Amino acid sequence: MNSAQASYLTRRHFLTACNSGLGALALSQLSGTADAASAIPSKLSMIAPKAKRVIYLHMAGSPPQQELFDYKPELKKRHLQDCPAELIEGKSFAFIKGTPKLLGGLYDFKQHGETGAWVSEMMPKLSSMVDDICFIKSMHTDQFNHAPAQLLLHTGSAQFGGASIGAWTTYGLGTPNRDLPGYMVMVSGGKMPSAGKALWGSSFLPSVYQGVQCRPKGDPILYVSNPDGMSRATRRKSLDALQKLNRLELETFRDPETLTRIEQYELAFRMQTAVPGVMDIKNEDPKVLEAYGAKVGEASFANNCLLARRLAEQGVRFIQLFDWGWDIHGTAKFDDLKNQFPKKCRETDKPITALLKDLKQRGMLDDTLVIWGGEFGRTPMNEARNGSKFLGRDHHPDCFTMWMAGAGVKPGTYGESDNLGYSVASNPVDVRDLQATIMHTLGMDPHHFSFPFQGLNQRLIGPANHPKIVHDILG
Amino acid sequence: MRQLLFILTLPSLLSAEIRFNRDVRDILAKNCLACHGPDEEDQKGNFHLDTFEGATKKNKDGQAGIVPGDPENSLIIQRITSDNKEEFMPPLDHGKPLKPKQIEILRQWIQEGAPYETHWAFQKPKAHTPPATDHPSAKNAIDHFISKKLEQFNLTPAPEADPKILLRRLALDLTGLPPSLEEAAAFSNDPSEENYQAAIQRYLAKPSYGEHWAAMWLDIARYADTVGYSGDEHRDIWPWRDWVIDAFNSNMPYDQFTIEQIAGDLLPNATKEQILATAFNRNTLNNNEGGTNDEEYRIIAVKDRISTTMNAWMGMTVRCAECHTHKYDPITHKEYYQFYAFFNQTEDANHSDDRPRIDLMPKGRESELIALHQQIAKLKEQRASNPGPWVDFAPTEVVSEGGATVKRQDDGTYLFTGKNPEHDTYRITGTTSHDTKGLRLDLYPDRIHNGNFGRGPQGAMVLNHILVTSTDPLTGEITPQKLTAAAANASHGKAKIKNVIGEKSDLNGWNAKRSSDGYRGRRHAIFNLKNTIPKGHTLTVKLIHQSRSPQLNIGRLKLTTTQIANPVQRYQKKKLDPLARKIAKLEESIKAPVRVPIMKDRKKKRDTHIMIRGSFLQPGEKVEVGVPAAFDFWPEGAPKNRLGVAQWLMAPENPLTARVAVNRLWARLFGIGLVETEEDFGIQGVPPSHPELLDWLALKYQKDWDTKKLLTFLVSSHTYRQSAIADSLRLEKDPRNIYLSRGPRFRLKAEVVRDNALAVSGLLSDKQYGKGVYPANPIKKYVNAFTGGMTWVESKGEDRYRRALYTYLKRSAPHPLFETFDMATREVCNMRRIRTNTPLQSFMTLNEVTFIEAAQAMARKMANHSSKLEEQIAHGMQRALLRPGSQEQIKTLEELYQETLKDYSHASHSNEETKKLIGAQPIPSGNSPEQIAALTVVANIILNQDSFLTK
Repeated sequence: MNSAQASYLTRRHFLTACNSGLGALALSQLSGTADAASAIPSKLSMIAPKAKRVIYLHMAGSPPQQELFDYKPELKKRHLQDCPAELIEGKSFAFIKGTPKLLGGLYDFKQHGETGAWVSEMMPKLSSMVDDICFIKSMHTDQFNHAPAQLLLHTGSAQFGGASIGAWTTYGLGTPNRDLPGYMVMVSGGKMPSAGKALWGSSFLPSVYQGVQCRPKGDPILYVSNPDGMSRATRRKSLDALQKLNRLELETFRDPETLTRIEQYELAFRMQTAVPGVMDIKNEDPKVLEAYGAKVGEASFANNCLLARRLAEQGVRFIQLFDWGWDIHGTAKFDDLKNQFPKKCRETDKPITALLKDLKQRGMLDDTLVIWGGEFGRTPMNEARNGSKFLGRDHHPDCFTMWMAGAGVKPGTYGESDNLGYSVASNPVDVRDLQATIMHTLGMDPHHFSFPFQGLNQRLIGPANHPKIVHDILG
Repeated sequence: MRQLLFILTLPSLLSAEIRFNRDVRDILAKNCLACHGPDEEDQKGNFHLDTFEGATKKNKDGQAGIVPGDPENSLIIQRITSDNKEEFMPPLDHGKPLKPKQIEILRQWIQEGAPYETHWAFQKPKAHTPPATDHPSAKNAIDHFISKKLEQFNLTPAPEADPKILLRRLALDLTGLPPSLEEAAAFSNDPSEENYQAAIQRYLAKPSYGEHWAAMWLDIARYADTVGYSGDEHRDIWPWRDWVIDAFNSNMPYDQFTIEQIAGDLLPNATKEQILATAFNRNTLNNNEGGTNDEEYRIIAVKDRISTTMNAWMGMTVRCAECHTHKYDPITHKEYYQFYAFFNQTEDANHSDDRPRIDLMPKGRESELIALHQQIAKLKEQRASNPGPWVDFAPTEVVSEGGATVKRQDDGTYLFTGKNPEHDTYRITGTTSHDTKGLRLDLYPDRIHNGNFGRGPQGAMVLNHILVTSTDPLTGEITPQKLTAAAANASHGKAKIKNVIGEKSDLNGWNAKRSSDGYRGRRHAIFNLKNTIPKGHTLTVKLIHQSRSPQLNIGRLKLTTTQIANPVQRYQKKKLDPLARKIAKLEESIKAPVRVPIMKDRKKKRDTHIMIRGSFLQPGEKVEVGVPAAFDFWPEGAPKNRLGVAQWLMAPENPLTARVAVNRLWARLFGIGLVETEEDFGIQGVPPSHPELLDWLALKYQKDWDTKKLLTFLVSSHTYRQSAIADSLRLEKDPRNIYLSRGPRFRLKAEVVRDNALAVSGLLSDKQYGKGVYPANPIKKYVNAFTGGMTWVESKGEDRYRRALYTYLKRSAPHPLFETFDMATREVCNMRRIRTNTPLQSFMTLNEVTFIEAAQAMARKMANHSSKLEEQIAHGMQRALLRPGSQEQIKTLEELYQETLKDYSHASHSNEETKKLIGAQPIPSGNSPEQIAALTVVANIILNQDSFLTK
């Protein structure tokens, strides 16, 4: 092969190799459109990124803001009074029928830190971190069923078919660690989130950008281990032979894809050590394990928080944790405010706090964006499905609380809900605004960063132009 | 101004002739139409550039965007060259300024009168004469078009591929499976035209042909074995998948294939198969999450049918128009909903049971069924002369005390409909026709109750108490009658039949347990009377429902009586009615039909309204059915329903259907479509690389819609048969092989990656059809929110090694092997898989269970073939690639073998480890486990070669 060809092959190889730090450029090869350059935002490099990576903690099912961060004394005052008619007129709820009763927050609130943020007694540890957190109390969405709301939040489309925010991010920014996938996902709480794997899918983006789910038991990534009875040494020898065969093939056919394939096998070999290495918490300081509440060999949200930090350290670009069990309807003990909800708080308060502290201590909170929230909020009314005696709240898309920390996000509170916490009272933030803000923090221009598919320059924030970056919360 | 002067010096750079579609359209589409396109809601400055009329309309100042013949007075030229930042177009925060060459093109085009052309794909294909070529390799018209284009790059077609490589390519492309060693040897000995043509016909005739091409259609149809969303429950729709296989294998013409899938149910005297075909559009998702608005999800499904239909057949993307007029393509918001109105008429509505459905007998059961039915008919004849112990009770009155509507059916049963009170009591009164010693209650499923015998949620029923009285017709004396024993053919948990005959009503009562057998699910209960009720007395039976859960009343029933004493005991000893028993047993052995969701129009038409911003909660203007004005060629006499839509799709005037179809077939064979964006032939799509060839093929296909014939033509071309070996010039001028300067060479698709490994190692089963199977899968448990999820119980025997398309497809969690190799997610129509090349794929082919089993099987084949290592390895290569491998390749693998053998034979190596690697199958005689282990490692590498994973 002459040098021009070699250079062509190398360039092409460079562009298609999935884990190179050139995600956006890879597009021009993979999408194959004639004018792919137009799909690459020239503005990509014009916004200085505050965040190098994201850790997204999704509380699947959606926690009640009234019991956590959105303190509503007026609601408490009117506890068990009929819900005002004007609030429910023309509205449809997932389960509430007739005239429901208002339900005051069940737990005590206090103000914490210099920012004076309100946090309930259910998050005792997290309350010590409020000066690093920005609470957005004016979130709203337009979906009130789990799967569509989760899809809208994470893929920009309430129906299946959108690419996930993590896929967009790795597509745009690639990832600095060539031995690990750029987008990794972990699930806890015993169940998958309602919309399943589509939440970290790549859809129309090339599938190299989809999230790789790490499993708590067995191989952390499917088939990262050699088959039973084959040692790493044998694998190395066999890969050497494979490489020779493939190089012979390359010499004959000169197919650039062959070169890429050779490199993918080598990357796979490196991942065989890198992945189990990063996922193995045996050698963590016992104090760190204790701080997170993580236990070696266990599948838990606490373990996942610790793993999130380890992955972040290794340069994984987008880390997403889904924790199931927050769907506090109050139909029985397993989903009510007095049993299930405190249990979920206990399971998450400590590890989230430890994660924030750990990142901070390692100097990583400055360029790691941590996001916490559900897919929608919960009603200020008691659901009382079929006359249930257990207390709980129905789905509520109109108003909820999320928080962000790190990556220069300004600590404090943004936006307000009304007296009863029913609607947004000031500074509304749509889930699309949230997406725009996250992308902006990462240095991507949400309005111009797109991918041509099905006749449209697809964007995470959807086709309409109203989504806005919430500059007020950014430092 | 400086810019302007600069441009004025440029005209000589441009060609004499500006063509709108070739030169201008793309500039407008990319830079202007997002704000100045057909979408009236979103037109900036009340100005649109998508039509001549719009572009030349004068504004209030008397100026026009385009003044034909006068570029300098055309506002658009002024604005795109303006040095006033406020005026400059496109706005600076919106896009890049136009390039000088683009500006000059627009200028010259306006100078020439600004003629607009319809987008190429919206014009009918034109007849082109294949250009002359003097390249001797040309086999058919395709080669003329292709080599003509190559001339532009100073390229010539590549020589024909090595016969073994060619035959492998052909077999993999047509059947998804490799040729046999014998076929390869024969063809390689005599690669004549005649033998090549014979090979094509042989592969097209194999059942595997239909399986392979059906797999492609499943992506488009978003086929899966579950319903999607949170619950992702099971759905029986695989008989439709088998229908697709048969349609390909029988070479069903594409027009028939289309009409039956879109509207088979509306054809006159539609057959069951034609109705089954419509399951195509029932592959839409269901959301059974609690609290879901069924209407919302019905609408989402209907919209999905619109976008699937338009995308699959016409390569049009219409989803934009759900919310507003399409920004680029000619589909207005209103037109979208007019088209939607055609599909808005079906009965399905996000029901958890997927109704309406059709009952189908699984394939291959027909003869067995006929025999069974004959036997049953014979027994029933016997029954006619021997009526058995039970006599129909003819009530004079059947009353629902709670107010349900009671209707006697022709078969003597009573159906309860209308009001369904919380707790109802049915009172049945009549005169006994004989001395009565026992009673029998039969429960019948009914369509009104959705195939169930109960009226509760999901068809549940509970009976809590039975009270029987008799009245002496002479004295009028009423006597309570005790029931002493009871038996039933089914009950649920503690809710047993004996609960109902006590003194008092029992809270548990009798729950007859819902039947999974659909309409064939019958329930009966038999009771002994303590005392005989004499003939001619009035008998009153009260059936009382008082259970904890409300509304579990019986849906349809029948009461019969007997004069035989102690019927319950006789029943329990199986002596009561042996004939009925026999009949029932045979009837049970008839496998329950599969109930497949299908399309069925409602009797009452739904009104359709425009949905403002796509929201079903904001209905706008009411609309009637219709197709977009840009495609206004409704076939004469076609009905105004889905059937008409299907005919419209296939109308000869339709500019897109044939092009989209041939492009799809082309892309599967050549790797990239003539229109690369297979899913988008609209203005934003990639223009065709060979527009004349595309038209030529479309017109050819349109004549008879004969798919096998078209495929024959494509693979007969020299273009297809070219060697895939690239050289510097070809790599430089045609890096992605868009112009076919060499033969197609790309990674096999997900299904074929696996099937090919199973085939060459001899594991593949050729069993066809049937419900999904469960090959090895590391994920054993799928847990969905809100439902129980499923456990992946691995299939045993040959079902473990069936072709990939038979693998159970759980929509929320497809089999990881296929997912890793880019199989489309089956949520929406997918027209094209984007091929990737990732380390996760390497993990699959190196370590995945099936691939390891294939390597183990292959190792044994190699060992059995010869006792010489060199020959063993050559045989392995031969099986995988049909070529024995070069000396260097063999040598490389021999070395690997020797080193591995050394490792496995080393004293420190555990025998257990060796056993694990070689698997449980017997070791061919004369071989040690270590030798088989080393061969397994070699086979594993053979199955991972680039040339094995690539066609």
